[in-house]
Amino acid sequence: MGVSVALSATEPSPFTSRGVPGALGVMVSVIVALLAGPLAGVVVALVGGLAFAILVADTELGGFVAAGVWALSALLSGMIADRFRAAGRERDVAHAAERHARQAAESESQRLSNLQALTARLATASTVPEVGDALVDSVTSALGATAAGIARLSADGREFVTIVARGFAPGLIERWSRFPVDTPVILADALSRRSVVTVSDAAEALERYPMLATLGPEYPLGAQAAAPLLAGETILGVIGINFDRARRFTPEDEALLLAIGRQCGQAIERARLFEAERRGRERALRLRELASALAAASTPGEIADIASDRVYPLLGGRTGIVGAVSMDGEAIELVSEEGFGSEGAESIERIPLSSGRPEAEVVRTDGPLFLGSPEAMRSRYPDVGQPEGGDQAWAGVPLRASGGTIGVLSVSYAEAQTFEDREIGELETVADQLALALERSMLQRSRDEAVRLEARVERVKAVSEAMNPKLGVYEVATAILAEAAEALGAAAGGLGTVTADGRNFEFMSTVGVVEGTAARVPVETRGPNTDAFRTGKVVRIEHAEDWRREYPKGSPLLGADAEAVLGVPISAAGRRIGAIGLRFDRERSFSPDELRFVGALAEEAGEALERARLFEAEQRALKRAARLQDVTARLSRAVTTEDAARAILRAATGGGGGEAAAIALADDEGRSLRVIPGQMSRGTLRLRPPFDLPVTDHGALAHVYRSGRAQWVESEAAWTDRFAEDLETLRVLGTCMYAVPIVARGEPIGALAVFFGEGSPEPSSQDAELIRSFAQQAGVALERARTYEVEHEAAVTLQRNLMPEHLAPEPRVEVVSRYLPATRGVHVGGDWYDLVDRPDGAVALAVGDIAGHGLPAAAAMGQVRSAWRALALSSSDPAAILGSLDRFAAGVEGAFFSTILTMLFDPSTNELRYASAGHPPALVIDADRTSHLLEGGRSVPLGLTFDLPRPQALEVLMPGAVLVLYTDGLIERRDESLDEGLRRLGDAGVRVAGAPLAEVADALLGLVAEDRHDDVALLAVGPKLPAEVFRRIFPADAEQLAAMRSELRAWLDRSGLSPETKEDVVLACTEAAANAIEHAYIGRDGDIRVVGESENGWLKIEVSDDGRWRDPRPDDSRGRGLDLVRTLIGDIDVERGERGTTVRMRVGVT
Amino acid sequence: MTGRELATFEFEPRERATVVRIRGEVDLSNAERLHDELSSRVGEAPWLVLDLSGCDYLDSAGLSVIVMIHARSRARGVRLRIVVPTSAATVDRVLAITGMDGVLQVDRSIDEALALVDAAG
Repeated sequence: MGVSVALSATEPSPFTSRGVPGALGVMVSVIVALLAGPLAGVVVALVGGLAFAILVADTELGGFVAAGVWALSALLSGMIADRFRAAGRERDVAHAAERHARQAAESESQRLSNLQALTARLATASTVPEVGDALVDSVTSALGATAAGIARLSADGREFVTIVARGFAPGLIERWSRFPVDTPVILADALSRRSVVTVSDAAEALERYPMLATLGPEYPLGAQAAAPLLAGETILGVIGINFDRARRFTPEDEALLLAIGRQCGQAIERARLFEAERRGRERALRLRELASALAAASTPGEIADIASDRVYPLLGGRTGIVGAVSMDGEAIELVSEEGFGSEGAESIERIPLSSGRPEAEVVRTDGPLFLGSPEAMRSRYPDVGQPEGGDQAWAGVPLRASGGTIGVLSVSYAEAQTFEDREIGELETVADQLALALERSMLQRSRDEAVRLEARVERVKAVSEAMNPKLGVYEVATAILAEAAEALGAAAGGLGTVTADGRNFEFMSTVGVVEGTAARVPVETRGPNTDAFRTGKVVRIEHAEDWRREYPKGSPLLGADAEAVLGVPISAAGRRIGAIGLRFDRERSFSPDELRFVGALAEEAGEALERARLFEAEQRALKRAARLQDVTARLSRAVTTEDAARAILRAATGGGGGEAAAIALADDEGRSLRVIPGQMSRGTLRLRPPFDLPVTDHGALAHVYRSGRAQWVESEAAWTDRFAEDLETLRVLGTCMYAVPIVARGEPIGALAVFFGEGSPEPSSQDAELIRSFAQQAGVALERARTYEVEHEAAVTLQRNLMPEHLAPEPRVEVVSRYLPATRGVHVGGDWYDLVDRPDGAVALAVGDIAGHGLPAAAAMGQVRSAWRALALSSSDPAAILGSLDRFAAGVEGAFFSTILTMLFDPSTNELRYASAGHPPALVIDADRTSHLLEGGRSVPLGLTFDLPRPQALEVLMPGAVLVLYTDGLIERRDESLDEGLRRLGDAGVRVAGAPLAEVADALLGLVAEDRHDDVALLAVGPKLPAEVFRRIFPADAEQLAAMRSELRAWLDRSGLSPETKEDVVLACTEAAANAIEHAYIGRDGDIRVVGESENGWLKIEVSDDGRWRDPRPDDSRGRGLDLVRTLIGDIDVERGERGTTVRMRVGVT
Repeated sequence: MTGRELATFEFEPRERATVVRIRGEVDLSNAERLHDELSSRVGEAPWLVLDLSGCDYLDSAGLSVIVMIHARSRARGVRLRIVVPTSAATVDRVLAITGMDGVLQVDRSIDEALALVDAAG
């Protein structure tokens, strides 16, 4: 710049007037030259100079020189300035270039470092998202992008799948998560060209990709760039970058993008590989874990848990199924499922192998099935997959174990799959492990089951062996049925056997059946039990529909409805004897183990039942034998018809026989039957009142008697049918009757009927045989009894007529007589005693024993006795009496060798004269408690000596002495000598010395053996007691009764009454007194009087009061009391009057 | 009468049966007392056992009581058993004469009666 300073001269100095402007002019020119260039400076200088020269310098040369100076300096300075400026400009340019270069270098290094940073990040990026993040960050920072994303190619190369997107609106990202590769966007271009594609601004973008206009305002319209993701030569996808403004993309940018694309591609590739590797490692680990978990699993439940925890997650499907082939091999049973929900799970609980599901096909074909795409699925299994949420792929693999295909594993996927070796291999590995575990669990289960059943069989065996053979068939049946039902979980069941006649099937034990179910059905009835028995084959029903088909009417025991049923026959010793039937309330199949088990039980049952049955049969046979023995023994002891009848009735009803029995006996003319019924009650046989039937009666018993054939009437109906007119008395004994005829000596003499309760079965052949045996025995015994009875009756009649039971009351001596007939045999009639009061005051006594028995003996006895009476009345010489009797006896048949003891007693002197013809000595019991035998005057029995004098003896009895005459039946015992018997008699006499006469007589009688062949006659004579009187008066108060009784007892003790009669008297008196107490004095006091007198062998008692009695009311207990008195004391007389009532009673003392 | 009771009635309530032991003599003077004591105990247990083993005397007064208790027991569903051993001669005789031995349930010993009670289950 040249500055020229032109100094305007002021007048004062020339210098100043010229110099200053001149300097100024130079300055200004120079400045101008400097500023505007030399040319400008020169111009200014010249102009200025001229101006100066002219104006200031007055056109002096100096002024022009100054102007020239000015121009020159301007030129110079301008040129210098220019040079400087140029240099400066050069420097500036250089600087600028330098700056540019530096900037370029910087941005290059920035790019490089960005790239490096990206590379570094990518190196550490192990997942695709990390790669994506790294890229987007880098791109946005390096290039200033607003938004960026990465899309990878789908497996089939037909779609872009966005893996990272930043800076875009979320809605946009979603919409563009997946789109076809031919979508007209920049990314597609980059893909197809395999190079970076850029767009500098929005306009260009819209022009090239019109579709962008449809994206809406959210889409950042501006510059765009896209670069391929390359890994080696493989294009994996594209990167897309958006700017919100225009941008120019330099080649470096493009190079950078490409580089980024490559880096990313590699990184993605690496990440994928890493991921795959990691997943692979993880899968390997999980497979190992799965293997060890499955190895430990022992039940299907555990396997199911492991499937849920590990298998399905490992396989990554949406749904999964593990199924096991059922035991019957007809369906797949669900072990575990995933993703089906409860309803879906139910529908696949049991997949029949015949179904159309792919799992069934896998099992059927024993091969895996892979459906990788929806099309494949739809084409083959249109029903599978779609309802389950639109699965895209499905895989099914059979589970194979040593036994073949035992199950199936299936998985469905949300995405289409390519089933490559790796996936298939994995599925098969998992399947193998599942198969092993499943097989193990099934084996374990069936082993456990087998062990369990085995243990049960063992137990049953042990139990049945230990079973007391005495256990009855019912116990055995119950035990076995219970075992079977429990082991198999049956809801109901029964065990039955065929009856002996083979016609019916009887249930020995039932469980879980309705009350009242028939216990016995005909063997032809259709039912699992009866069918199994008849056919000998197992009846096996596993489904309700099979049951309905086979048994539309149900079964008599098990009912109408059943879900599953099992019937197993029972055999013993090669013979079918029954069956076990079980009903289940759930459909089920029967495993071979279970069938074996039930079969084993059936065998046990057969053996045990047979054993029990044999034992029972044995017991019954023993019992029958015992009964027969018993009746035989009893009958042999039976003497009278009643004895025999009792024995038979007892035998027929005792020990398991019928509840009642009846004997019918025809009378002598054979015109009527006397029926004696007997009924067992409380263990004793009670005979019911006998009744008569005409022999022509239409009833069952008479029928049997007439026809001579046994008859079985099995029910009320049958009875009414055939013997409508039978008496109720017969039918009350029982509803069923078995009657047999009783035959003696070839002729029917009656009938024996045994009665049973309703519903009883016909007696078995053995039982019928037994009854017939009874009847046979009965025939024999009854015949014998009748004979005896006929004879006996005659003899007894005779005897009674000849020898009254009670001797007439004796005024001079106390006399007590006793007569005991023989218990055995028909030995009756020989013994006798008698007593005669003589006019001279003496008493003649005799006791005798006619040898022999039966009627002849009785007749002889009568004659001898009469003879003695006649002789005793007149003769005072016992020996002479004997002598006369000797002669007499010679003439009486049967009197020969009879014995007699005859005595004459004078009560005034106590002298006793006696003589014995072969008869046991009389006993004297003294008041001082000693006894002795009167052994004098002994001679031989009657009929042996004639005209030979017989001896006699004299004895003076002490006061209070008791004399006892008896026959040898009293002292004779089979196993001891007569002397011993006599001694016993003497001892007994001493023991009862001082006791009332009756007591003495009874005590001595007690010596007699129970079982005796001989009759016993006894006469006890003692001093006449003064008539003793009992008198008591007491207030009419019940409290007084006890004292009355005890005093009365004391008085009666001395009376010679038997203990029973004494008690009867006490009872009667108390009743009479109680009556008087209750009725005599109502509302007032009074006394009761009891007076007792013993006279002439009679005891008389009077109970009297002074009151006015009410009549006893019918239901009054007093009425009962009076009846009791009448029963006790035959001889009673009640006198009622206005002034009192007297009850008089009389009993005989002897 | 001395201070001693004519008869004692001992009650032994068991789980399933009330056992009553009557010792001594029962006549008009104490029959009513027996009736009152017995009838209040009908229903205590499913069984009522009257043990007359120690009863020395029983006439129509005592018998009426037994008959009434019998009827009451039946009405209440109580099972009545009378124990009369053969040694209790008077009681035995009275029951036989009046035919009550066919109506009442008679056992010959207390053991027999109790066995029946146990067996009835």
